[in-house]
Amino acid sequence: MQRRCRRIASVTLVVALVVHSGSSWWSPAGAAEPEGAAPGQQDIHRRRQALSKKLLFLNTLVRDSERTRKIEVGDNPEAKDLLTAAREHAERARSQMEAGDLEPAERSIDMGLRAIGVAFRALSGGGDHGRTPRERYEELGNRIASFRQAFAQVVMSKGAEAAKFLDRPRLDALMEQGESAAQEKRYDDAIEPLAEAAGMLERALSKALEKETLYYRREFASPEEEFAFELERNRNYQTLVDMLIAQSPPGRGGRILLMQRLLEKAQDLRDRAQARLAEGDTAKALELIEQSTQNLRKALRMGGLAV
Amino acid sequence: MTINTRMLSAVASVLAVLVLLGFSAQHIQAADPLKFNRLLKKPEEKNLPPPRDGIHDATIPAVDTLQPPQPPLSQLPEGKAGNYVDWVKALESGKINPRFDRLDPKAEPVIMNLDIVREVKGSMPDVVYPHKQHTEWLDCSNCHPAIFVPQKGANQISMASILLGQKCGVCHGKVAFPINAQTCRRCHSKSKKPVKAEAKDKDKDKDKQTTDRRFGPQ
Repeated sequence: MQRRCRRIASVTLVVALVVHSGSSWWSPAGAAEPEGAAPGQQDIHRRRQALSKKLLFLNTLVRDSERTRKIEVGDNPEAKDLLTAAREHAERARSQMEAGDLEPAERSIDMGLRAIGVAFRALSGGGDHGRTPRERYEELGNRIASFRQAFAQVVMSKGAEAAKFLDRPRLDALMEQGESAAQEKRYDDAIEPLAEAAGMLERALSKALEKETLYYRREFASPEEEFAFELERNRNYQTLVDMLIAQSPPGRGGRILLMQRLLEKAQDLRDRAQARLAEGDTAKALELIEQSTQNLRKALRMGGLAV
Repeated sequence: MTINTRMLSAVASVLAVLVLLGFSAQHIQAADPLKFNRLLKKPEEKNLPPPRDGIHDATIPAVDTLQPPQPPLSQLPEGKAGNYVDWVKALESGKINPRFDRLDPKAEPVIMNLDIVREVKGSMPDVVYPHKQHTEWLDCSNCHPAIFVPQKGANQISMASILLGQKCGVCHGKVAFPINAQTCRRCHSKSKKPVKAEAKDKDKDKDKQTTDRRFGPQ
């Protein structure tokens, strides 16, 4: 008995230890580690693997990224030079790694990463997350248009009192300045006046609506419209339930079964609701579709999601 | 002696199971950190160190050099969900002082003190969207017009779209508090009171003006 226990203990412990050292036993990083290598060799091996990943990352940035393509087709010479430099560093690092010169390789990779980072910043003009001046100009234009419309609505409901918060002549002058620069394709010059115009509008809206509460009431023009709303909600919840079931962790078979039953019930109620709607009985149709949604809600709660 | 051997056997078995569970949990989490069921993280999974957070690649040796989030976050006001930090309180109390513009340390936010109340069908309380708390940290352009068109009736918002990472879900559930049973009432915060009670409320908050806007099915 004692011997058996000891055997079980030692086997289990060995399994535990082997799995615990899991990263080298299971992971792809550890899989290729040479067997019986000396500690120094293992360090070199790990360092080479880490550098390979870093180089892969650099190559992804200099070859396949969206921003790299923007530099290639764009007209920013500084960004283009930096991209070329980053590619040269990446190529040098590859040769150095092949020759086993890991330290110079790491330096080359770091320089390449720095160069591509500066290139991306040069492309975006400092802080525009890789957007070209034209994209930034267009984005500002959309923003201004939407805020202008919102401000017009506020002025319509509140009158001249609200209109005074916006310096209209200044806004028009800024817009004209920006638009004429853009017509000459000088998007860099167009951005500044447009950004100022957007800021003016935001401040004016902020002052005009200071300490206000807007109530958005829900109203339906007809029972059919309300049914369409409920049907849409029902379908949305169905999508969520399907996703919850698909992404459930293993070992929740019982719960999934219950969720599936609720799904079937909801489907049946939805079909009956649509049939009633077709017959013109909108009141009953609404009642049934709401019941169907309740079943989907139950299923979602069962999966841990509060709606 | 027999007891000791049995104990050793039991301890080794428990150890093996724990190690196996830990190993598999780590690999399941790392599969897709932005999966839909990220919202269902358990409290004990909060603010895990980078090798175990399901976001970073645990096989890269340098992952251990990254700062674990829990020690610094535990210094901030406690929240009830997400990363368990109440960021609004942290900002109001001055515990954090984020720069409004990455490149300009002197930039000031345009704070908009406007609440939007959206009526909800059914028994759930209505939704209150406070611009103030959002604009203390975010720029108008973070949300308008790409996520929300700043016009009445122009935005289709539903719980499903939020849970699927659209509209409010662009931030909530990713970098702002998630949508779960603990956080429902943070947005659904205005109870459907009878008109009289609502009038009393208005008296309490005299400096707030109210405007009715009606909108169709959303």
